[in-house]
Amino acid sequence: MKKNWFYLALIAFPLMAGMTACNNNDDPTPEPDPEPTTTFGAYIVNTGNWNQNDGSLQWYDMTEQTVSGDLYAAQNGKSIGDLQDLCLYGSKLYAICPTSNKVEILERNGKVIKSLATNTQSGQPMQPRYATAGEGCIFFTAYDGTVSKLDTLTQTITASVAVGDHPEALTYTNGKLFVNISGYGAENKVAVVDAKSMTKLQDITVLLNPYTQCVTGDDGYVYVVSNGNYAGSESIPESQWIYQTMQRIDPDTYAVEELCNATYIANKGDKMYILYAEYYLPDTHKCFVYDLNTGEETTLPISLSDFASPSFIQIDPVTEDIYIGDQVYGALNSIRIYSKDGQFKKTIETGMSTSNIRFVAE
Amino acid sequence: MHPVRSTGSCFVAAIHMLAAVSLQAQTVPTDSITGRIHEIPDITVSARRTPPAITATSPLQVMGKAEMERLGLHDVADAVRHFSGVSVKDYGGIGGLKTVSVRSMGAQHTGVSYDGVSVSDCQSGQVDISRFSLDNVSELTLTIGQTDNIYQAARAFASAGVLNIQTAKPDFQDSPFHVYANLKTGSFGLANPSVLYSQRLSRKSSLSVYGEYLRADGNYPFKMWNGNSLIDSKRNNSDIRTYRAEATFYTAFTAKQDLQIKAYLFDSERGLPGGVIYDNPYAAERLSDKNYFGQFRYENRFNDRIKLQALGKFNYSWNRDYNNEASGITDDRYRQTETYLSATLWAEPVKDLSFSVAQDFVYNYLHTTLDQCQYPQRYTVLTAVAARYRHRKFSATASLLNTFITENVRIGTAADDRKRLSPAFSLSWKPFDAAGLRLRLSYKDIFRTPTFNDLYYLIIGNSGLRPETTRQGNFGVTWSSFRLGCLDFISLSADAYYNKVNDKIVAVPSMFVWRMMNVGKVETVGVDLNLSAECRISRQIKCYLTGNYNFMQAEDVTDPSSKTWRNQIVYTPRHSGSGSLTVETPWANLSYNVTYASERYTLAQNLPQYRIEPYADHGLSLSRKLQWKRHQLRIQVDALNLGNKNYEIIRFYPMPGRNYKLTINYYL
Repeated sequence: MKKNWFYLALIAFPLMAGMTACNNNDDPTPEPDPEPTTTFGAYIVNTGNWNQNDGSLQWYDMTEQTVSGDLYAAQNGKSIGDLQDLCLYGSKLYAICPTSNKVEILERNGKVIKSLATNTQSGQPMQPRYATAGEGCIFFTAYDGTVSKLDTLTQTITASVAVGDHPEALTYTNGKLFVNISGYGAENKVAVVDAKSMTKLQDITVLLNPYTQCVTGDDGYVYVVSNGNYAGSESIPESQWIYQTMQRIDPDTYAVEELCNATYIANKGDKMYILYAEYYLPDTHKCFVYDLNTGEETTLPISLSDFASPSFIQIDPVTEDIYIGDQVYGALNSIRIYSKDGQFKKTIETGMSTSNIRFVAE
Repeated sequence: MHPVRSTGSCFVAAIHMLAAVSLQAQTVPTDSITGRIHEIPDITVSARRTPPAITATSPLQVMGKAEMERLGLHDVADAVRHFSGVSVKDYGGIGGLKTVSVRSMGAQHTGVSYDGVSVSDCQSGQVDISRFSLDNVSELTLTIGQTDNIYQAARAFASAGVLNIQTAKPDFQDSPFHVYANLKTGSFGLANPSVLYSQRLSRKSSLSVYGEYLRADGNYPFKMWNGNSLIDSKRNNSDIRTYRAEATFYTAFTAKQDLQIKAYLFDSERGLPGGVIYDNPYAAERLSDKNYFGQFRYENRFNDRIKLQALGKFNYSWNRDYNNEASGITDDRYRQTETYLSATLWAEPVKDLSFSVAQDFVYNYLHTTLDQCQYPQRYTVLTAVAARYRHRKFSATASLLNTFITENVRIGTAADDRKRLSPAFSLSWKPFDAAGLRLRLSYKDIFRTPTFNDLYYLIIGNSGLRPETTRQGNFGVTWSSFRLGCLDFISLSADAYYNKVNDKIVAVPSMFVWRMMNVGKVETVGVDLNLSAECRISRQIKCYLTGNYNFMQAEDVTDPSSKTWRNQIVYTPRHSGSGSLTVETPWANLSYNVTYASERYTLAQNLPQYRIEPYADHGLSLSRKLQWKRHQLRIQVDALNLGNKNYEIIRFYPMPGRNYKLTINYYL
């Protein structure tokens, strides 16, 4: 099984010349992306347990309905360490490894082309966190408070800019980067950076603690989720609770609009698939579709009580199948797959701390 | 315990016997075998009794100074690794955290006491035994279940197992003062001088002062495989510097009353190398510890039938955790205090039947500089009542502990009050008069209360936690004999046990953050086998052999539908053991020792990629004693981890490879 998927993947890869990037609108070409018609499969990002060097990269083959073993280990004969984020751009993969302190450029099959150690000038690990792509470059945040630009042609880091304390997820749109500044839970900013000159343009104030969710929607707006202050905590009076909230940022005027409660989001057209699970408040947990035009919420028949701990929501760009990660403590994680109307389809077993899935579609 | 062999080991024997006497002074009169006096031809006179390990109704293991020296042991953790049914979690190197878990129940269920007074850490609930020196220790005792010594503080009833560290008490029979100086040096920049000075102040009072300094670079080389690529590197940021000082004042007001007062100072600064991270060797975390305590123990033996002990302690601990990373500097400080008072009344109204009542009070406070610190305070009231019947062939002990805990916090919600009754009982039966065979049976029901970290740490803490409970049952056979063929002494013991841990407190991930939850259940069945023998080969040559084997099947029985159902719990070897062989001659002593653990898993789901290889750690120790008038000198050379494998006890914390130590002791 493990071998089979791989040959199939090799056949499939050349077909994917015009790859989708991390976010649908990241392509630098000004004309809009052609609508994908086939999803070949998806890369599964397993971050790994903290300091356990057990991050891994798997391939979910949609045709064969099989999940591979660790692609990285199979190709390189060693473990990647940890894997926080994966960016698909052009013909390559860009792996972001905070604890192992590196950004690695991989072939589509997982083989390392180049490994870039990400140290600061004083020799400390930068701890890269999340990446996005645009203008022929990869942009990644790091815990030294910067966003760096990796030129995909020269495969070198060409520029870096300070953006704020503990930057996390970021997105590229129209020559600009929007970067969540979490301050490790103490900040409430989205930094705007000019991607070409790598200069910080401005801070946008959002709700407290923007963290892992920062995407450019198909409508061109930037959507950011702030995680708030863990509403429901006993040590904070109820009047001071800040709920997890999705906000819409206009990329030109920087106007911020609070839309609805959300923890994880995934966009397709004018629909936002949302998973909301407030840490201390189990009664809030729900999964729904938010209409970005009307603001209407349609609840999906997905029960979050089936999950040990939901870890992301993603949407197949073609079928609109819903993929929700489930992190189980001390055992292999899994991803539950539902049809776009929320009917359960199947569960696939993954690796450790499964934190994302990146679709390959054309 | 061990006969006085030659004048060369007089000091050792002296403190040893003292310890033995003080230990047995606390137990009820002996039966036929234990009371017998054995005369061993080449020695003047020696009282030899059956070791308490053999007569105990619950598994009890004792290691005296002589055995520690014989085996060439350097720290408490090394010594405890030779005990049966325990696992020591060791993060490697001199500065690495070392904790003891008894029969897979977890380190937080192991009580540690220092000279009979409980040592605790209300924040983490586990005691780092690397902070204690072995140089001024005369005896280590490990009890599993409930000790049959009922003349104890209530806290001695309050954990699943207790490790007691007994420091040396001076003996002034032949000199009004003693000096015991130690110098240890070895691989990876180890330098460790210490001095123990004891002075008789009057007929009734004496004072002991102990001082120690330790430094080490700890930057040992290691090799580790990441798949098929080799990491050949050195541990970095693993240096340590420690000062320790102790003063103990002993006085006997009358023949019936005595008082011991101790002051203890500990100050350490060390680097935390962290686990090996693939492709990132950076480590800059520093840990500073200060621990000061004062304690006293007062005893009044009113008469043969009634006695009273009172204990008190004030403990102050301070830690600073500093790290310098690209994201900024973190500098967290933690301060905890404990005030502890205890009184125990013991009486033997009828011959062979004794009772005790113990009342303890503990106050704990934790202060941290973390965000949202709740400044918890805990008041613990423990009451234990116990009874013991001891006859020539039969012994029975029963106890009941009542716990009441109430907590306050300055911010947020405190945990609810906790009340609990915890019973324990044990039996021992000696079916034959002639043969030294004993059967024992014991049961104990006890719990650990959630620690301040479990309850209040950042947002992970959960003040709704219930206590983590344990129930343990043990059935064992012990046998010992003196003078059997060429053997001076032999003892064997076999124990089979069953434990159940319920409401195990585990950190569970939940949407970005982890939270402490009562989710786990663990069921353990195991067997501990112990052998100890002494054999005289000639008038001048003697051999000592010890060995133990442990089987431990500790399985997760939380949820039959989970992937971890009936998997061995993490870091618990199914098979483990240790052994030692010592040859003692008038010229030198040579000792070989080994500890072994089978494969272990680092993940609750026992997947092959989370398996840690079995290991065996072999050591050799050579020592020689010299004497000139009353001056005694002892030189010891150790070669440790002869196999030179960087095995791991904790995954990604490689242990040092082959290394050497040189120790010089001077005694006057």
